[in-house]
Order: sequence, then C-alpha cells, then structure tokens
Amino acid sequence: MMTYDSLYGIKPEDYQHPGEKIAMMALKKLPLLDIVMAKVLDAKIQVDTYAEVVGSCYRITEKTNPRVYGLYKLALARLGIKEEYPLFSEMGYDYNAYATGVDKPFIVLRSSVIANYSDGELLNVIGHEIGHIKSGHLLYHNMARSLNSILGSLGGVAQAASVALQYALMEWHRNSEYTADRAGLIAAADINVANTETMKMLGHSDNIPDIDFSVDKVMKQAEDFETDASGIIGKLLYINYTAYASHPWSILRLKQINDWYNSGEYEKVVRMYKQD
Amino acid sequence: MKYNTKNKKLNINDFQHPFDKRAVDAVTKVPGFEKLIEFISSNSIEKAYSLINDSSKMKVTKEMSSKIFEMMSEAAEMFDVNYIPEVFIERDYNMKVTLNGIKKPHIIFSSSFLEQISDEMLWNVIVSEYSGIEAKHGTIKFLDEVLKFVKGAIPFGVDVALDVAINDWYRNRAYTYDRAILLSSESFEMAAKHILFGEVSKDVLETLQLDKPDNTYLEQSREFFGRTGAEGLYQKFNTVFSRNQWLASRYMELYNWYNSGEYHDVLEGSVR
Repeated sequence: MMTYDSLYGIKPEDYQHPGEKIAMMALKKLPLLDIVMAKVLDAKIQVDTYAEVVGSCYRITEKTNPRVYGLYKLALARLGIKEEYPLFSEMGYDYNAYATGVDKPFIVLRSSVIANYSDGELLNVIGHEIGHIKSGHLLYHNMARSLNSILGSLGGVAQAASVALQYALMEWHRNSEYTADRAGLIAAADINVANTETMKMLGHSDNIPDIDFSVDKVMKQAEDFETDASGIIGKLLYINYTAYASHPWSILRLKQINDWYNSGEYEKVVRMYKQD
Repeated sequence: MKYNTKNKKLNINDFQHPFDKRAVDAVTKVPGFEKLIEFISSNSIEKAYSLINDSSKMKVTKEMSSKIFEMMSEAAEMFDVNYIPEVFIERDYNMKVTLNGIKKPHIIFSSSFLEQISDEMLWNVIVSEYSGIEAKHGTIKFLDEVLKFVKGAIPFGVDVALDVAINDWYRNRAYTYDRAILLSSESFEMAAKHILFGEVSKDVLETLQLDKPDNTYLEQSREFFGRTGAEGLYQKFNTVFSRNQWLASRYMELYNWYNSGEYHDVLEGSVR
C-alpha cells in the first residue's frame, strides 16, 4: 500500500468518474437548467443552511477534536487543497456526512461516524466530502435538493419538461458519488478501509459476533449483483428505485471503487502527484 | 442438535394466536386467493425486495456465518420444512427483525439487534421467524403493500377500515411470535425479556424477574388492564392506527397462555 502525505496539483479530472462526465454533458443540454441554477444561486438558501449548522452543531477544530481535525488536515493535503472549510459534527445515529454551500462550502459529519469509524474510514468519509467540493459538485447538489420547490414555482410546459431535468440531475448526482468515492480513496490511501467504510453502510459492524465480514466475502455479493431489468416489471422496478435516488446503491459503489483500484488507475493518479 | 437440543417438532396450528389466525384465514381461506397472491407477490414485490436487499443490505451467507445457518437448519427441521430464508443485515440503530416475502421469504436483522442479542435469544428469534413464515404472515404484508399502492382508488371509509384491520393484525401477530419464543426457550422469563428487549436498558432487563408471580412488571401490566373510563378507552383506541402492540398486552397474553395449561399441552406434544 502506498503512503503519501500530499498530492498537490491533483485535478478533479484526474479522478472524475466517466459516468459523471457523460451525465453532466446530458444535463447541460436540457432547457430550464439556467433558470433553476439562478434560483439555487439565491444566497438565501446558502445562508439559511449555514446558520442552521452553526446554531445546532459543534465545530471541529484542533482544540475541540484534535483526532478528527488531524485527519481532516491530512485528507485536505492528500487531495491537494491548501484552504480549510469549516467542519462540523451533528448528532445522529445514521452513518452519514455531507458537504454543502457553494461560495462558502462546509462539511458536516454525523456523530456516529466520528464515534464508530476507524481513522482510515474517517479519512475516506472526509475525503469523499472534500472531493465533492473540489469537483464543483455542490451547486448541482443544492439544485437537486431544492428542485421540487423550485419546479413547483414554474407552471405548464415547464413542469412537464422538469421531469427530464429531475431524471438527468439525479443520474448525474449518483455518478458524482462515484467520483467522490474515488476522492475518498485518495484521501484514505487504503482500498481496505474504503471497502470497510462502504460495508458499514451495508450493515457491517465490528460488534456483531460470529459473522465473517471479510471483504472478499462481501465482494462476492457485489460481483453477483445484477439488476434484473429484463421484462416490464424489472424495468419499472429499476426506474422506480433509481430515478429519484441521489446516491447509487452501496453494492454498486463497492464494485465501482474496486474496479477503479484494480484497473491500476488509482495508482497512476497517485504516482503522478506523489511528492517523495 | 446444537440448539434444538430436545429435537422438538412444532406445528403452527398448535400455537398460532387466534387473533392472528383469524386475520390470516380471512384471506387464505378464500378459494384460490392464496395461490393468486403468491403468484403476484413473487412477480412483483418480491422482485423489489430482491433488488433492494441485494443492493443496499449485507447478505449473510453460510460461509460468513455457520452459526446463523445452523440455527436456520435446525429451525427448519423443527417445523418440518426444507427452506432456509435468505438473511440480510441492515445498518439501523433500532433493534428489529423483519420478515418479508411469501414464495421466497427472507429475514432482515438490524445491525443493532445482532450486536446486542445473545446466541440463545437469537435461536429463539429464528424459531419465531419460522413460525411467522408458517403462519403465512407474508400474505397479509403483501396485501398491506398493495393497499398502499391503490389507496387513492379506494373509497375513503373502505381504506380506513382496511387500514384498521391490517394494523390490528400487525399488533396481534406479535402474540404468535411471543408464543413461539416461549415454546422454543421453555422459559417464561426469557420470552418475557424478549418482549422488553430493546425497550428497556440491558442492565435493568437483567434485574427483572419477569417469571416471578410478584414481579413488578406483572403488577404494572395488571394496572394497565385495570384502567377504566376515559383512560381505558384511550388504551383501547390509541392503538387503532398503530402497528405496535402495547408491551403490557404482550406480556399479559403470554402470561395467561403460559398459565392456562395450553402452553404445556403444546410443549408436551412437541417433544417426540
């Protein structure tokens, strides 16, 4: 396993998932995008979100949580970023984290992630969120979140056209998660922790006795997974469960990140920027 | 036999709670309806379950946990059936077990549940899940899913009545599960603790002597059923739109069944 402290100079295109690139090209061809973007850029949306977080969460600094802060600094360096974004912890039992804001991005980690993840897994999560910021995803993520309320204010034909926009935006959103997963791996510098972090979302727990959660056993589930989109029922189910989903299924995320790692591309990117 | 040490054989018809059975029979005794539901379910909702489970939950295979599969095999033998449901784990802070499916039943354990449960209790829970399959709980759950889908097309009073009936069944099926756990464990204390598992902290649960005739929870349950007037009405109707049974109800039902002699008759018949 390669180790590195920083990869200054690394560009978002170096780790961008090809699906994200294709989905963004399709998105930009759609009408309405400019109208919706203008509304999302409305500063009020951003101000409200930050106020909520500052008012209800606690900020992670060197003083308040040296462990997490140290990992955060390492993740920033490994993704070649010199500036810091505010980092917060929010009370919650689910394993989740998010980055938001456009001009002034910030990151929020759920308290259960901080409590239950190893250092490597935390690096992976933090790197994932930094990856969203570095890759310029947040504007479109905000758009996806606000889409329903924005589209409700448009009428007639615009509303009908909005279905295509919503579908295209969510397709892009899912692919942006694969890109951010790659950023997470770059930050963690260890495919095993990238895997165990995804497995935790699937249900893995170090506290469940007598179950062999080794990665190769779970990878079998990823390899065997097939979306049975044959037949009308299969197709309808597939569309129903994916059309408006912002994140891809965890099993597909596991497969995608391992495919990228095993292809040698991850190592190529790191070697390009690794400073010895 | 590692878990079914007395080589017990159970038959759901001997212990399924009458309220649970009544609801299931209302559906399954209609000629041809059960087969029709099974066909529709296996070609619709069970495909959806497959997709969701395989994509977003951790599948537990025999290679990953010989313990769970050994328990499943022994439970299958106990009920004289030859299927082993698929097992999944989902990340959830709530302690719960979910049984779905008719043609291809599967069990989902929440991660918190498996973190906290003892082997002995896990065995008993697996027996209760098998009893749920044998009691055809999948059939009512499927109808529940269908109702959600067609709700808009049903006249208002009818959909409320169906909702109430289905919620009633959800509450009553817990009684069948509790009986299964009692028959499997042969310990009223263990079966009663299972009712409170997840609702009372572990350290308090350890101290409760739920099988003693003077235990405080029995006293509490009797007080619960002794409430009259507005309080009694509230208790009766508060659960109409709830799928969870009062814990005190579950405890009293099990206590009464245990002391009625019926439990002992079933248990005697189960040991070959």
